[in-house]
Amino acid sequence: MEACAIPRSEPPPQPEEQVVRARAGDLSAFEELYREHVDRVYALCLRMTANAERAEELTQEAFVRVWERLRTFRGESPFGRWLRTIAINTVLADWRSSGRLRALERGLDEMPPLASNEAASASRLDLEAAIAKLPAGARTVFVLHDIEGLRHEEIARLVGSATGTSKAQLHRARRLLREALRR
Amino acid sequence: MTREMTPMIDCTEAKSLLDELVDEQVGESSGDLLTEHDRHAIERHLERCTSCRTELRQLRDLRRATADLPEEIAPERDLFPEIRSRIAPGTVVTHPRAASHPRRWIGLAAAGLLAAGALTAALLLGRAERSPATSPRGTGLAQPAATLMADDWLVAEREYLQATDRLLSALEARESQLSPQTLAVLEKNLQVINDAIEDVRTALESDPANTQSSHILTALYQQRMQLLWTANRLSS
Ligand SMILES: [Zn+2]
Repeated sequence: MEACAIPRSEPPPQPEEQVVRARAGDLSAFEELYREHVDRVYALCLRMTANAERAEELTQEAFVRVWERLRTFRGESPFGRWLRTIAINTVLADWRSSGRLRALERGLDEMPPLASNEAASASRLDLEAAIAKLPAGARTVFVLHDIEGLRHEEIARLVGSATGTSKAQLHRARRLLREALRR
Repeated sequence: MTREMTPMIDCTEAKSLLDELVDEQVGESSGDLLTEHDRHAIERHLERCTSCRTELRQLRDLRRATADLPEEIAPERDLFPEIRSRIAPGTVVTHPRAASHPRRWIGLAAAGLLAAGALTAALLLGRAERSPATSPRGTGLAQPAATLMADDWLVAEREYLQATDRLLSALEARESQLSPQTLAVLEKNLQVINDAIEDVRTALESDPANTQSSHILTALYQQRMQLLWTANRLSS
């Protein structure tokens, strides 16, 4: 009985020390945050774009945006999750500007992925390679749902599509991956 | 009774529910993706359909394989210098090569420079201490040897460090051609040598005329150059 009280009695989470320092303009604290989180952000960007060079640029872009928006971060959610959402939005904004997102929203993403062989050669796993070869829309939803653990509702909100589109894309991605891995 | 409440569904319908079923079973989303009605329907269908059971198993395998993927992938180069130059344009980068690979190389380069600075100071100090008027041992004989040693060292060491610097620069340019394993071994060995250089430097500081220490130091500098030279050959 008493054990049930534990989660409620904990104080509200405080932003970690580096976040507080970085928010005050401390560049070395921000660099520490970068070192701590960059591999996670880069993995996300690399899997979403299937292009190592683009993923590097978008990772940098995401951290620049994080720096610019640090003042708005109040620590309601963990810093890592906040950062990850910014990274996802950075990739999607890039697609939006290049018109790729419109295709993604409509679910008409027959276009081949950008330089999928780059990501494939960088990864040791067949699965990574197969993910990189997915059509962009299916890949995005697969990465966000099955790897990053977002729900269809969140994906739909971020992408600006219907939940049904996200579900259909995931279904397609999984089917293509099963086929690719059976080969 | 339940048979009427959950009518038979065909494979097309069943397959459209498998994603959610596997997410309930394997994913983090806990158990509220399917309606009670759909869950019963799919479970009844699975009891008699091998094809859909196979598909469910494949989906489960895929889900598990995906869960095993690493959450983190390190970029192949350090991305922070460009970020820093964008968010703080006025920042001065003191070491030109620090911009490309500070995490990996600046420490190694700095270790050498630091050792050089301290050693040079120690040798100069040693020479001053051994001037005839203040010779600690009071033997006129030890002093010229120490002076010679110091002068030799200043020249020799500068050359070693310049050569090391060139090798480090060349290596940085080709770093991407070395496997992460090779780079890790290289870094570890450089670290060992740098630590040894530090130790001998400390020893020489207290006794600049010690020929044994200076020989060891020479050997260490040569060893470091040899290692860097080999690494350069591997990557070219
Ligand atoms: Zn079936």
